[in-house]
Amino acid sequence: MKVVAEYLKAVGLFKVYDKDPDLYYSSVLELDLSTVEPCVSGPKRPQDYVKLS
Amino acid sequence: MKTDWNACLTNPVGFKGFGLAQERLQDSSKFSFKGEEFNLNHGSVVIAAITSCTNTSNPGVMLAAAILCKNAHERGIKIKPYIKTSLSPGSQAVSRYYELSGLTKYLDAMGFYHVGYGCMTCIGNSGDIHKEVEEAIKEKDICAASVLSGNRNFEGRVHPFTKANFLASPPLVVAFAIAGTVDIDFETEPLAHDG
Repeated sequence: MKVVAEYLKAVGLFKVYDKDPDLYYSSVLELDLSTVEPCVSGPKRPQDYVKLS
Repeated sequence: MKTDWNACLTNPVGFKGFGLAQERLQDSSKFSFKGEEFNLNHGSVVIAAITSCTNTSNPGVMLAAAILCKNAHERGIKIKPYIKTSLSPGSQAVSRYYELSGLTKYLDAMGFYHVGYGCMTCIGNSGDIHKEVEEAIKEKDICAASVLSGNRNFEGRVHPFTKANFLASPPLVVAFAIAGTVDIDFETEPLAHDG
């Protein structure tokens, strides 16, 4: 983590999510993690969501 | 999963259907492999692969898969020998942290040997399955399954003999390999019994 932080600071890419006034996100997506359930996809297409239980 | 799978078996042929007649649901194809007798049914897992870029770049799920291997191995649980198991992470970093955390031996013990790095099973490069398994599938036209942590599962992509191909997280790949079938409800049915 230290190396990554040092590197990002050195190249000017180190940002703090809610503290940098110059930070601009073109869109913000929210995900309620309590809605995430164990699942698989199939049997023939990645978009065919199947709940595990 | 169990409800969905059983619906898929008899649904008309399509993205969610294999078009089997009711009387074929109990099909069972007997074969012997390395001196032991086994049965393949619809939903039997014949390929289980932790593979490809996406999932294997997440150390959390990779460690979960390895820890499941450790726990299963320590309880004497084995994966059926005819299931082709493999581990092909996208990066060598995975092998290094497995080695450093002492988990490689448990993956090996459960048959998830490192086979290389990259797309592998995700793009249909798992190679042949055992001849005996292939014959057993063909004999009764079994809807055999692969379970992989890849990104795509279109029919025919992963393997010509696995009609059903489920994308799952690495620990679920191990879990389905242990169970040996996709016809299971993990909430109510045991994965296996202690060996």
